[in-house]
Amino acid sequence: MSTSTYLEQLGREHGFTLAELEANRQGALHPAQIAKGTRKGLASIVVLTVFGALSLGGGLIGAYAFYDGLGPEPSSVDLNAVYAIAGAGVVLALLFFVGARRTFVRRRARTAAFVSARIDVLEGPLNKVHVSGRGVPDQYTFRVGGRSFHTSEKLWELLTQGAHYTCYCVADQLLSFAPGSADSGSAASRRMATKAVGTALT
Amino acid sequence: MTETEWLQTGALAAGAVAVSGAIYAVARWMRKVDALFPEAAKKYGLTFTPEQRGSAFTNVVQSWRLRGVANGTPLEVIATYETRGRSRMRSTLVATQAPAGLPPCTMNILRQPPAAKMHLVPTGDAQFDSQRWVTSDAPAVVRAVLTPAVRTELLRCPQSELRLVVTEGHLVLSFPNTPVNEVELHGPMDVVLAAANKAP
Repeated sequence: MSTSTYLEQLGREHGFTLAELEANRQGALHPAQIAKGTRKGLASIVVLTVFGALSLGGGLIGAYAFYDGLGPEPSSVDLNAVYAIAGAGVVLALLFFVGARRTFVRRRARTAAFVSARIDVLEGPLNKVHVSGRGVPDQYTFRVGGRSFHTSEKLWELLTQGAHYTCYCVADQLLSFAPGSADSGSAASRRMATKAVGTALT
Repeated sequence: MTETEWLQTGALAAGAVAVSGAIYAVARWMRKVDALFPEAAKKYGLTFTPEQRGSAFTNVVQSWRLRGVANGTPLEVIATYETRGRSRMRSTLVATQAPAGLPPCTMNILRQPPAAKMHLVPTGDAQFDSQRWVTSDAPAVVRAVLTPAVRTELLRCPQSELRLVVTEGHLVLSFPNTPVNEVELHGPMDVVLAAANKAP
């Protein structure tokens, strides 16, 4: 298998093209990556804000409608129900708004990183982690240069444990990656193996 | 006793025999697994040390260690079972001193062909290459480590995946499980001894 075929496979599974990888290798961002990166997260912010507004409106309007139907002298139990409906709406809305704000802050940092084209290059041996358990979906993760990336099973299967890879990231986003050279891989493997062995043999 | 009563008694007796048989089989299997490490210690001339931390109400770390010198080669085996919340982790490693001058490298020995052939390293041994697939980014080291003796021992290992790491001074073979039979324990130990250029 040629390297370009392998890179195409990786790109297809992760979502990058050879042109994008080449741009990252040159230390630059591909225009398509900038467009994708600055767009990412916008939908989440909108959805969370809308859900928050709906929860707030639903809670308050629901509580008012309930109160309105109680008559001139509502009992304390009915009033408690009114407070509970309004309170639940407000709490739910707060959760959605906090989520939206966190997404907004993350997106602002990511957008700033994309605009300034700050590419983090991570190099080292790749460590594959597969966590499976009863009743929970399998998790596929790989770790390079001290950072972990969640991935799909198909992409995870394409990666070689212990081999040297170079990853190009902007903020929290893995843009592209490629296998490194054998020589640098051996140097990195040494660090990984030393950690694994620890003090087993003295 | 009526015919129905005889049938009921017979069914109950058959059930009791089946349950007793299952309990006996499980107990026998557990005794056999428990004896794996002490027997290996006796065979290879190593010291066996079981360890356990934690209880039924906390996370547990259980390990079985073999340590010593087998046929002039320092050898250490550590099998670990660990619980962390709802997660269960099992792993085993066999370590020795690496032969002098061997460059560092990580190689994966698989029983199934890998999804990508990028890092596939054919050893040149047709019989071995048809049964095992080796992936690594250091093919020269793979060919240096996987001598005919090592390949023969590797073919005896039933594990679906083995990881062999060569580092400065150390050679470590590991797999993500604990051995449940003699072949699963002795196989990797023999591989490491063969790789250290010492006959088992």
